[in-house]
Amino acid sequence: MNAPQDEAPLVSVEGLQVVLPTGERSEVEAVRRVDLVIRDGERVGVVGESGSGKSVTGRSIAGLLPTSPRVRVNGSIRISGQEMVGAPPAAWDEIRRSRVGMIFQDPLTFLNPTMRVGRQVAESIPPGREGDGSARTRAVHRFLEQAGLERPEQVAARFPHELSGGMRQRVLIAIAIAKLPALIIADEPTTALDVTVQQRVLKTLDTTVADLGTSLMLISHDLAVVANMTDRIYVMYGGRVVEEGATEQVLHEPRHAYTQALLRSVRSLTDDGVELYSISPELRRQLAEEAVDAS
Amino acid sequence: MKAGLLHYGRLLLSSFILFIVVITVLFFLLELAPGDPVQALVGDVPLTEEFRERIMAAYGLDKPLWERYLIYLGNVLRGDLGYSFATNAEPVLDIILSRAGNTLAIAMPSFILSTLGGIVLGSIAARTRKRWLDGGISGIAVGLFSIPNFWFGMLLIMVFSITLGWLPTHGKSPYGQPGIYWEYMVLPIITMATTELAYKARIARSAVIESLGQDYIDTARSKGLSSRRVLWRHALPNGLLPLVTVSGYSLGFILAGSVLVERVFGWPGMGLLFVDAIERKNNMVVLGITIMLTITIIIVNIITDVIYGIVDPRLRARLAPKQEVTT
Repeated sequence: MNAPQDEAPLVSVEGLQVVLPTGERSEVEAVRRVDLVIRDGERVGVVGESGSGKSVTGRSIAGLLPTSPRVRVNGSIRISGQEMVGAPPAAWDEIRRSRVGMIFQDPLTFLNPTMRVGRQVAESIPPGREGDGSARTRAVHRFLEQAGLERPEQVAARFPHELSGGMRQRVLIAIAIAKLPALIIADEPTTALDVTVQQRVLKTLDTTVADLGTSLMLISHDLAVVANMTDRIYVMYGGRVVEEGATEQVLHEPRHAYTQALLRSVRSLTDDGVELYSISPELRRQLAEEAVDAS
Repeated sequence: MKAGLLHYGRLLLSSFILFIVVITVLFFLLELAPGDPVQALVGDVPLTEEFRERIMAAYGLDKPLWERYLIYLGNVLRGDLGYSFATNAEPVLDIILSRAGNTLAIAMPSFILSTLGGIVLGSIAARTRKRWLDGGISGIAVGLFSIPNFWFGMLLIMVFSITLGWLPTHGKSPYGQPGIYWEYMVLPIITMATTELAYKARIARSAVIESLGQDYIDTARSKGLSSRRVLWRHALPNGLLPLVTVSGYSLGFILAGSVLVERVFGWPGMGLLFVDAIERKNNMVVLGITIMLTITIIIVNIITDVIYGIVDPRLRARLAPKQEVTT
C-alpha cells in the first residue's frame, strides 16, 4: 500500500482556502490554508467531526464545489502537475472525466432516479475508450461486477429505487471506477448504510482500489474505517489540518490534543458503563486560539 | 398489474363522476339564465301562445325540468348532444365537429409551441441563473404572462397586419376560398401560445433550478459531463414532472382561451361558435361545446397520468410494485 516518496505527487494542495456563502450576506471560511499531498497509489484518510472541512476539501480537489460565483477558492490544487485553481470548467471536466472519481455519501439521492443504472455507469466511461454498442454494455457489466454486484445484466436494467442501499453504493463505486481514475475520493461512503452492509461495501472498495492501483482519499468521521484502509491520515478541525502522519503513528502516538480527544471518544463494545467522552470546552477554546494564531 | 388496473379504474370512475357533475351543473345553470329560447329560435318577431306551445312541444321544452334533465343526460351518454335551436334543428354534434378542426388547427400548434418554447427558455434561464440572460428571459416572461391575450392579439394585428401589411387580419382563408391558409394561422397561434409559453417558461425555470440543486447532479458532474449535458440528460428529465401537470392544464386553458382569440381574429372555430351560441341563448350548443371541452380535459388528465409513469419510474413502481433487489 505504501507509495514511493520521491515521485511528483498525484495531488498537491497548498494553502487551500475555501469560502462558502451561508446566506444572502453571510459566508463561512470552510477550509483554511490546508496543505495536503496524495501520491500515486497512496491511500490517504481525512478525519474530523462534522463541519471540520474534510468534505469541502475533497470536493475542492474534484472541482465539485457549488457553482455559485460567491464561492471563493484560493491557494493551489495541482493534479498531475496541472494547476486547477482558476482553471476553466472544460479543464475540470477533463480532470473528472479521466483522473478523479468520486463516491458520495447517500447512494439513493446521488443516483439519478429516472435513469437506468447501466446508463448511469456507461456515462462515466470516457467516449471511445470501450468502443460502442455491445462492447460498451459489456464494459458496464464488468464494472458493476468489479464493484461487487452479482448478475450485473439485471442490475444494469434497474432503476436506483429498485436496488437495496448496499447495491446502490456499489453502483456509485462502479460509476467512480468506470473511468479508470488515478484517484478516487470517497466521501463518507458508508455513513448512510446499515452496519451489516458497511463492512461488505468497504471490503469491495478496498479490493477495487487495490486491483486498479488507484489512489484513494477516504473521508470519514469513523476512525476505525480510516485506520484499516489508509497509509496516512490528515486530522481536520475547524477547516484546518491539525495533525498529519502515517496512520499507525497518528492512531497510536497522536501528537495533537484534538486527535487525542478524537481517539478517546471512539466507543467500543467493551466500554459498558463508561461515560461517553466528549471534547471539552477548554480544548475547543484552545483550538480556536490556535486557529487565530495560524491566521 | 392489479394495482395499475385498480388505479386506472379509479381514475376512469372519478372522471365519469366529474363528467356527470359538469353536465348537471351546466344544465341547471343554463335553465336559470335569463332569456327565452323560443324567442331566440324564431327571431325578433311576435309569437302567438299557440305557436309557442307547438315549438315547446316539438323540442320537449313543455316537459318538467327533471324529466328534460334525465332525457338530456341519457342522450349525451349515447353520444347525442341534442339539436340547435338557432340553425334549423341541426344536430349539435355536427355543428361542433364542423368547427372543432378549425380550433384544433390553431390550438395544437399553440400548445406544442408553448410547451417546447417554455421548456427551452426556462432551461436556459435556469442554466444562466441570476445572470443577464436569465433576467431578460424571466422579465419578458412575467411581462407576457401579464398581458391579456385578446389585447396582445389586437396589438399584433396593428403591427403585422395594419402597419407592416405582412399578415391578414381576419378569418382563416381569403374570401370565398375553402380550407385554412398558413398565413392566417400565424397571428392567432402566436397570440394563443404567448401567455402559456411565458407561464411554462417560469415553471420550467423553477423546476430545473430545483433539479440542478439535487445530489445526483453532483454525480453527473463527477463523471466529467459538460454542463450542457448535465442539464439536458439529468436536470431536465427530473424537472419535467411539474411541467407535465402544467402542460395538461394548459391545453384546457388554450381551448378555453380560444373563445377570445377566435373573436379577435374572426377565426371560425368552437370559440366563436360558443360566443355566438351564448348571445343567441342557444343552450344546446353551449352545453355541447362545454361537454366536448370537459371530455377533452378529462382525456388530457388521463394522458397526463400515464405520462407521469413514463417520466418518473418511481411512480410506475408504485402502481406495479416490484421485489426490491438486495445483496
